[in-house]
Amino acid sequence: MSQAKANFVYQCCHLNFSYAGQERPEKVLSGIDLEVKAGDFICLTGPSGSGKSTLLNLFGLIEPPQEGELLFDGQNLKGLSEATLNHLRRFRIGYIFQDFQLIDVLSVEENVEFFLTRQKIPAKQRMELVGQALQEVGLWEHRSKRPGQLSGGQKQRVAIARALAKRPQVVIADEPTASLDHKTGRQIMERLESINKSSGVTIVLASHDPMVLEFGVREVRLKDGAIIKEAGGQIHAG
Amino acid sequence: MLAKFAFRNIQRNRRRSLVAITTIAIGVFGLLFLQGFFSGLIALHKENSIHSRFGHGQIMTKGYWGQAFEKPWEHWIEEPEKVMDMLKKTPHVQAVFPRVQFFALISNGRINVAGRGQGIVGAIEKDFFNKMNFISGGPIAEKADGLVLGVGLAKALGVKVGEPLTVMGQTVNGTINAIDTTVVGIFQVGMKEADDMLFQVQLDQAQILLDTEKLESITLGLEDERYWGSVAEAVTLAFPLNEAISVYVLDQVWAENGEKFLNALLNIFRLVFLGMILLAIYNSASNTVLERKRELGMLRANGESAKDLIQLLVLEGIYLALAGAVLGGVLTLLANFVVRDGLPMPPTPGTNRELPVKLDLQAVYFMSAMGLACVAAVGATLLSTLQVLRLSIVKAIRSH
Repeated sequence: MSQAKANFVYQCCHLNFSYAGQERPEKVLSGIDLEVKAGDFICLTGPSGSGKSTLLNLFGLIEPPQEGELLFDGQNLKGLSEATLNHLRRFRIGYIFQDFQLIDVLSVEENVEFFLTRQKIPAKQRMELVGQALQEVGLWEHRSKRPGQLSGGQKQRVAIARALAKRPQVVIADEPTASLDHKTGRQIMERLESINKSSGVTIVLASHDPMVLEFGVREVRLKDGAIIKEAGGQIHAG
Repeated sequence: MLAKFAFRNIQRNRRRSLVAITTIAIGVFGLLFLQGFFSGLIALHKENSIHSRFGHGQIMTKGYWGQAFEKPWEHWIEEPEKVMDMLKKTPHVQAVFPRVQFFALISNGRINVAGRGQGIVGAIEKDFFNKMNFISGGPIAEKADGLVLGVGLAKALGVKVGEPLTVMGQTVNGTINAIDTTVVGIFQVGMKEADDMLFQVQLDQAQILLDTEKLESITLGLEDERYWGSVAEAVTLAFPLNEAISVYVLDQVWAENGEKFLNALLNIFRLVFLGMILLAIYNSASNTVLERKRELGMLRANGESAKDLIQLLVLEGIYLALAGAVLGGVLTLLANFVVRDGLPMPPTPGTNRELPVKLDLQAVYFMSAMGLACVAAVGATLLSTLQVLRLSIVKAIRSH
């Protein structure tokens, strides 16, 4: 059993994961040992099927760990109740999706505000947080617009604002630049890098895009479910 | 925010929402219209029964009603004046009508026809019993030798208003007696057995015919039907040898059986409309879940529990149900305005008179129809969103 260490957001120990195959289980993660420190900016890279999305899902607490151990903020995730997991997702994790996943019937401001209301934050404080987050991503002027009135880059910035406004411990970003052109993708990465540096929020993203490696990220490269390379950023031995 | 989100969500697919709302509206309209119609029909027949024959109820000696006796007058009310005095002082009693009933032969000099006679005080009955539907002439009122009879009986005797008739009957002592009368009115109350058999003469004439001063019954006219219970209780408490029988019992065909039958029928229609509403909401909510799987996955990834999502979807279902229910209510009010003079209906079973039925719409009907639509909406949404409980967040997010 791994020792819970202070200041580590994630600690993976011999983490294995399989999906039910047609004939036998299909192993997608094999013996992952990885530690993610608070304030890290990590990029999971690797070809399709390498297991980066599964690892990201495990970090996002939307996939339950199977074999091995996964500690989130020192807490073993195995066996946690659905209510506890929901609470952690609601308060501690912000999600950024490849295709933005904004709620198209709500305005930009309401999209950012939505999860804050679910955190039961008082209205005044909520509006302050929404304002801060939208100003951070440069979309305050667009707050009344609906997502359908925004460009792809702007939508992704709303998604970033939505994730940040929750004041999460970790932001999980799944291919955040994949739906954007190169220039916009770069702007989004610049924004994430800046947020990581200024707020110290831990960011874990998965990406195919080699451009993301230009942003001082700690790269964790996976192949066939195993880590084959860790480079850049501040590396922490498992 | 959840309420706002749910409200906006029903605007996503306007056509589908409109179809669901319209279906619910038709269901609620159908339910309200039928309930209003049935209630109007019952009220109409009840009103007809009360103001043409039975009043709100009658006082008789205990065990008399519904029994056949060789000498029925032996079971009539003793000292009826005391009972009548007490009743006149009882709150909410509008009028008391002493009556006797007897069987007799009516003769026009050529033919004799058997009929059921009632002795009434014409002067005091004429205002309360205002739904006898005289097709010729009018009530007995103060006419001392006046006689009114049902249309069927009049036809059998071939008499018209103004013509003389002799009523022959048996006195309480067993001798034959007769009174001479003049036809002052021919009525058609709509109840076949009454129109074919019933005739009325002045009470004192009937008592001469029967050679008694007793009363068979005291019919009651109240300020409102809802006071029957308290009046009945008061009179039976004061005169334990008597019993108070309501119009529901006296006129079982319509007042009791009719209401029961129509309510049973209404419950069947309720089920049909409930099914309609269930299907409308189920269809809408199922498609919503299917189309918004990714969004639901995103919400779950951000900490919304399956219960939260079901709450959201149920709220959307309730909005649809409320919108449909309000529209259905408005449609019903419009229909009520269109048929404000009543729907012309052929005679109902056991009757022979066409009566225009007005919708009897009560606030409680609107509340129950809307409540039913909301219950159906919650039920249908819950059913259709059960799949959310099994939703894998990862699969939902990756679904197309």
